[in-house]
Amino acid sequence: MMRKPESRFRWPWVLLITLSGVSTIMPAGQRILDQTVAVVGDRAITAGEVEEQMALEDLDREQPRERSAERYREVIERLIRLRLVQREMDLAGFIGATDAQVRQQMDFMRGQSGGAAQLQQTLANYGLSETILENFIRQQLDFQLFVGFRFRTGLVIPREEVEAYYATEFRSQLPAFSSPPPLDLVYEDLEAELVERRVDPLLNDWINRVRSQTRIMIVERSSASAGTESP
Amino acid sequence: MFVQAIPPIVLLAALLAGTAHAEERTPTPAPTVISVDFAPAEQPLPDEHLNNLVSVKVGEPLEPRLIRQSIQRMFATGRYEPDIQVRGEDVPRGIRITFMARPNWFVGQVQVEGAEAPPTPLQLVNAGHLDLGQPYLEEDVGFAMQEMRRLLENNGFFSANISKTEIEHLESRQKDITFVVMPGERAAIGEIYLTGHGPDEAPPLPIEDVRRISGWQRGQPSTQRRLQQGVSRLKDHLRGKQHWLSTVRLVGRDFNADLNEVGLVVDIRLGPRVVVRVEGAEISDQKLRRYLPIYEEGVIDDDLLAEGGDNLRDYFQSQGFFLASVSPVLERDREDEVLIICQVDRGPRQELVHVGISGNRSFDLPTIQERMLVQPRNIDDRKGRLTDSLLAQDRLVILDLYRSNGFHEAEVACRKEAGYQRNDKLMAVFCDIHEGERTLVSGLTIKGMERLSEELFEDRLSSVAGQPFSEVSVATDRDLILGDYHDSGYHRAEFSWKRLPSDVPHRVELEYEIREGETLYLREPIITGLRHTRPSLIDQQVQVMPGDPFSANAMFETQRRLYDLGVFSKVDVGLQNPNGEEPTKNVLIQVEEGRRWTARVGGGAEFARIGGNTADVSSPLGDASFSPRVTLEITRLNVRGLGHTMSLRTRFSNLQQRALFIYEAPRWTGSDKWDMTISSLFDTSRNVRTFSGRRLEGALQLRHRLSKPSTALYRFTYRRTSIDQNTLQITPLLIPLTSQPVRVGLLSGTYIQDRRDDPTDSTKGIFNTVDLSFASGIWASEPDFVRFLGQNSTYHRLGNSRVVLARTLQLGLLMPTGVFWMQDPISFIPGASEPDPRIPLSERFFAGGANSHRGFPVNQAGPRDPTTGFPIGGGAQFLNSVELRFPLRWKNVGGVVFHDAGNVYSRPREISFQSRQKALTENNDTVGYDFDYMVHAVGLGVRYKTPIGPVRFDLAYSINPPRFIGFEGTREDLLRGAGTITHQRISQFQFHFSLGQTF
Repeated sequence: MMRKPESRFRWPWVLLITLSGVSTIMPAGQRILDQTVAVVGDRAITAGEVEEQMALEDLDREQPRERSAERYREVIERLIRLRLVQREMDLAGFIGATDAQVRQQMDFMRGQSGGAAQLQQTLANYGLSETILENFIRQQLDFQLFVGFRFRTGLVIPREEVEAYYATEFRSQLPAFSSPPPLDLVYEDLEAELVERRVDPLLNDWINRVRSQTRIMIVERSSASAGTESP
Repeated sequence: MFVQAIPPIVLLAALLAGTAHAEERTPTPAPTVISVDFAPAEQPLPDEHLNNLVSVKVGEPLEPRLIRQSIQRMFATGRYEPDIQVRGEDVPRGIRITFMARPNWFVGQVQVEGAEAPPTPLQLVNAGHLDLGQPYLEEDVGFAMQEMRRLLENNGFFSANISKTEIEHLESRQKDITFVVMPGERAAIGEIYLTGHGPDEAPPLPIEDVRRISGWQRGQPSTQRRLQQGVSRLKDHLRGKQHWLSTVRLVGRDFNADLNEVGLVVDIRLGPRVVVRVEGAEISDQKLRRYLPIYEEGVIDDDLLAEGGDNLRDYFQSQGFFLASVSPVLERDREDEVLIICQVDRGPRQELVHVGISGNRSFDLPTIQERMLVQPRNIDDRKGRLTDSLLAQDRLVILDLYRSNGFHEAEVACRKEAGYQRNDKLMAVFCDIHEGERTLVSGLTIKGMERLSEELFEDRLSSVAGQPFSEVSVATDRDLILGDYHDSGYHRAEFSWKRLPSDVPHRVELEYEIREGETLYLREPIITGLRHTRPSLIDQQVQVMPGDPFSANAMFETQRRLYDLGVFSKVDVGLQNPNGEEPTKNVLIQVEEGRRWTARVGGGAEFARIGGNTADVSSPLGDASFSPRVTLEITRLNVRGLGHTMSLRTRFSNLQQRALFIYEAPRWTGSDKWDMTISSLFDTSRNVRTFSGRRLEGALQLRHRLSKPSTALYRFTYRRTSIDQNTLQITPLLIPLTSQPVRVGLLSGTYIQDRRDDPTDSTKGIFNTVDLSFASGIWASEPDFVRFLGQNSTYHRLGNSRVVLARTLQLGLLMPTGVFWMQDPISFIPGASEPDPRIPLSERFFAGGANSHRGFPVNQAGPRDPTTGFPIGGGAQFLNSVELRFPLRWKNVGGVVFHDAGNVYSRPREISFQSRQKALTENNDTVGYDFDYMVHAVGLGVRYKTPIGPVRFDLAYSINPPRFIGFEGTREDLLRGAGTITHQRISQFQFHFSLGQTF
């Protein structure tokens, strides 16, 4: 497969245009509502999506919004990788989370938030909505199911390895002088932990391979062209 | 985790605490969309499609989600560059939206100029991987140049410079790219540097030896082919010294720009010597290398050893040692030497006399036997064919036959039985079949088939109620259904199936589910690359029309038909923007016209009984001699851009001077079924030894393809034939009768039926021709006659062997229908029947030779001149040939035994099956012979198969060759009435050397 070169990213300009939403050389009265910032194969990532992803991460971190070129770049990178996985899921015909699974998670959140109104208000404070949250939850569930199907299935951890882990690493993490629980009691948890340790590198290798076979491009915009050029 | 995967539960904490950190916001109402515009106004997609893609609608509140969705949909069509921007302008009652989106370009014709082969321009284009119709991307073009540069460097062009020029076709959005290569000077081979080492740390080979063996002499041009050949030669050299595990790699090249030389870095790893010893049997090294994969793979492991052992076992079994076993053992595995011992136990040599099949109730024996490779002895193979691998394969084939017909519980057990019928030399094989119950389809439901009618598949599906159930049948149905969908534009249609539970044992309820997907329709075909060809010629071949659903088959068919025109050296047919999400796409047809003028000069020679001279009439049969030949052909393709061909073919030798002009119009009037040919010929030849004929001929022929095996030819030929009287070797009394210049107009019709499997070497099938010609004064022919020529040939394979019985029958009749020169024939010898003089000499039948009756030399059958003995042709011919063709033990070599019977007869009514030649006497003196009898010849032949047909040598023994009266003396003697009358006979032995089977 041919490797497609990735284009260079001109962060300052992207940031300038995306965050300000207004260019000094754009015709008076016009503003940018949204635009592509990157493409992965035939899928576009827009500035609006990057904003949304940052808001979701803000929500997760329970921290006020922060904006920097570096963070912007990191979020685009995460979205690129997410698009790669979604693309592979589509190509493989993978059936993701069911509506019922997503609904169950949403109901749970509404309950824990003190009701639908409270949830909506919290989301609104971050510039989000229930639809955005629902899409996000679906995306996360799909991702977890796919990784489980693609990488966890078939991964077998030998009993000796679990025993060795229990005898060394697991014990060393326990408070001093505390006696460890019996191995059989924690066996499944330790096995799951070791599976996860193996999944991550496998997943990363796979993503890198897929990436090398896909056209990925960061959209470059010069200040001169951003506002005045006539497409 | 690489993605910010936030489990919903984790989010919960943020949601609960979120209010503490985030600023309280009050949602502001979204403005109403007043208008949606696109810039530039000229968009690559039709308005209707564009409006469907854009989710933002006038009159509705502006939603960022819909803007994003619109951008993504537009980009996914593949028709836009990645930079898509949506701008808004606030106006008093809402917002005006503008989508700023530049249309994409697509790759058009890609050419390379200035390259110096190797690499050829085509190789460079292919290295670039720029496919017709793919989106034009700068990075792809840069990548293409990089790959071309790499290929140039591999061929010694280290200083090559590549630039590009582009032509933009605005309407089709195609960009033609021409890469201009300035290759510079090709580097020469310079120093050789060696890496790697042998087992004893010594350099594997001295550099001088590497240079000598590889052929990499200093100063030679460095080309990829030369370097690869050098590596192969080094490998072969090491393998020849039993270092089968050695590796040779060209790991680096060091270019010295000052000297324009490239140094080669070669890594040679010698590996141990590999010695294979076979104990218990003898086998040649050549066979050992063929059967042991360790030689080819250059690796030794248990799997390859076992595979080699099985191959050797199969080899010995194929030689009749059906109980042979082979055990390969890695006896010694040292750094300097590996020893493998193959212990062979051949057992006795046997013949497989019986293959027994039992337990088959649902399939008869021939059905099973025709699938089996194991075969008992027969005329073709006297020991039979049996190996363990073939037997295992046959078992699976039988099992597959049953399983694919619903017998899912079927079992097959095959075994060998040595000492069959209490004879140690006989072997038998038995296959016992347990069929079990057959599973049938009790019902089939098709879901999701909405846009195609189920009726379309009604009689075509295999897995319908009452039919046996098998996954093979389901797969057949799947291919059928998807094939129809794909041909109807549903290029992403999907098929799945499942078995529904059934209460009845051995009955299956099936459900097919079709996901039809969107239909892809075609827009206008965009044809590029035409320089001389008329577009109308292309239009006639194009099978894809605007508005048609996309069909890959129609695209392939278009490509095939364009290639078949014979005027294009390259034809690419593809979709513009193949991966884009569009409901309609342009079809791109890119052609490259081939050279229009070709000239070919050739030489050759004939060696046959063609000798003798025009002054000497003593040797009517000719003497073996040699005739050199020069040929010149000039061809003009694509005449007037119509796809027609014009050619002039000339041939000069001392036997023949010939010029043939042909104008061919394939697919005449645009129909696939009609071809037209106009030809004119000038020919002076001595193919019949009796005279030198000069022929001027013009012909018009229409070829009509009636069906795949059947063709009809309609032809009008007009020729003027004159005979050089100075060359005529017949009695002077006949000269005025038969040697006058004659104009013949022939209206002919030919029907050809060809159902042979391989026209050059047929093993089964039938070949029939019937040709009927009329020569009449109505179309200015001097003689009036009717000519009939028919042939019937059949080919039969005997049993399962490779022995073929071939036979042919040819019948030719010439019947005069008018007056020409003389009403009555002249008979010089009482009782002799002579050819009708109303048929000119040049129009008569002549036969005999390699492709006719092999009991005669070329054209020597039939009536002869009563004085000189030269053949004078006849008014009828009959030939029956039977051949038994069989393989010989050597590869590609076969043998034949044949029997030819027949002759050329003076007139149709004189056709005779009598096998004795009558002598004509006068006063008890033999004054002549009757030639109207059947000559029989038997013989043997050898065939050697080549890609253009078998090379043939036949030796015939004529049982009753004709005797005739000849003349001893010169032509002058003949005219003066001097010379001596002699009694001659055609030799009983004839040999023929030729190409292709006799019939």
